[in-house]
Amino acid sequence: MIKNGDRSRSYAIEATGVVKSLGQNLILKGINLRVNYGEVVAIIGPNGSGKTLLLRLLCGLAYPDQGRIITGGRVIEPKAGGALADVGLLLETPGFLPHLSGLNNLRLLAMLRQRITDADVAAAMRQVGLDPADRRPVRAYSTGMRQRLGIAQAVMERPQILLLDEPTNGLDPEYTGEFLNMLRELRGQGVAIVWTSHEMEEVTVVADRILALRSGVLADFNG
Amino acid sequence: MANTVRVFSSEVFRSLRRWPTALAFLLVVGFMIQGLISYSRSGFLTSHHSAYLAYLLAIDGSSGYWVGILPLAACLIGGDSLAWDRKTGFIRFMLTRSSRRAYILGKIASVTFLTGTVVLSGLLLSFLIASIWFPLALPPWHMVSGTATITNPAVPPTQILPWPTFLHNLLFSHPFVYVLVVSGVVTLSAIAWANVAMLISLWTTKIYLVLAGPWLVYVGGTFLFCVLGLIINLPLVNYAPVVLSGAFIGHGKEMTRAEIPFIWTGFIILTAIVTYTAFTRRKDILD
Repeated sequence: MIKNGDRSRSYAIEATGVVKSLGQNLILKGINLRVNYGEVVAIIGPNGSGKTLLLRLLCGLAYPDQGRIITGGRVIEPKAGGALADVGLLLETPGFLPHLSGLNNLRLLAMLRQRITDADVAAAMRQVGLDPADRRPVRAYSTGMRQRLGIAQAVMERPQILLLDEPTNGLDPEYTGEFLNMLRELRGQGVAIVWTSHEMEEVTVVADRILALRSGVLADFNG
Repeated sequence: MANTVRVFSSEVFRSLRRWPTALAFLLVVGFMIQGLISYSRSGFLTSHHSAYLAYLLAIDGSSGYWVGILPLAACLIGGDSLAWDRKTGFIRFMLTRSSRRAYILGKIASVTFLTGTVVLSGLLLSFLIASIWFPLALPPWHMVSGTATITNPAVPPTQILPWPTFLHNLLFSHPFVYVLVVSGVVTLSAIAWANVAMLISLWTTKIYLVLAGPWLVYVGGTFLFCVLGLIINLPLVNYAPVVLSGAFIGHGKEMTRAEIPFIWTGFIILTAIVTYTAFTRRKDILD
């Protein structure tokens, strides 16, 4: 998935001329995007504009038909192996294993990188207002709780790049404020954040740049 | 390699927290006990009860229904884990932490290991129960022209009773080793069906289809082998899935059939290669 040995730390994310179709539909028509470490970039666009697809390309869950993507200094392409070490991801409504507790879902994921302990996992849950001692399976969680668990999953390993797809969906208003504060804190720690949304108001308070994805092309929101 | 080991460990972690794993173990032991009960009430092959015969007849379907549900039990252990990952979207979180290659290799290895461990443990526990319940000895047997044969009043003493047909002489020379070999073959068959479930998971996320698919292939394949065998007048039924999964013990005319473990091993390797190749090459797995 990720080709090793092509490291460049100048940008956290660098996408050049990215084209992607789904079936017969051309969704992305030449995306150019550069994101620095310590920068929050918001991408605004209507539903179905390709925001989620773009995030999937940036983290290697899908591959571009044309163009080049470098995330965390690694080129994303189908033939190479390896995993993205420094990326936290939250895509759409986060999907967890319904029969496991929130803590066990996160412990299972943490085992894949083996960079954090169970105590770190529990701390990440507390950070988003979830109780790690809650033994209920995830299927008993509300939509808001699942979203919080998804955020905990994305930040628990302290990644340097965070890709968030409509992260405030389903969040209750009082926690949304805390979440925005957390993003500011992460930006202060040098984390690059790409945040997609269709709500203009919520991104303006944190984003350094706001881009609009319309008709498969990314442009400055005001441009 | 390290990534594959991590995926493997996480799958073991996950499987030990799933109730279907416990259900699969209970199904193995439960259906084997049903076979032992059925054996205790019949005088099949001989009027002398034997733990070895009780166990072998429960496995091969002569006195039990185990052979009929084998793929269903096997697939419950972990065969559906890939389908769950895809259905819930959990696979996205996993694939940002491991490569596709490590992910699928870890899945194949863990499903193979877990299915093998649970099924073999269940079978060996069943043998332990059989050996407590019945005398741990073979029934009376004698030699006919250098071939061991179970003494059966219904068969003339000069005639060889062709049971078992699988590795016939091994049962009489080393009965416990024979039990281990047969258990190993049945376990290989269970592993193969779990791998088939994983292969099906690449095309569907419907859990019931992933769990029932291998069983349908199992029963449908057996039916097909029987019908084709009759049409072309060849003993194809000896290679039908149900026969290779347990009924092989007393099925067929030859008294070796040592190729059966190799057939299952080859089938597992082939299924794993197809699963690996399809998963790493198909771009739409996550779409």
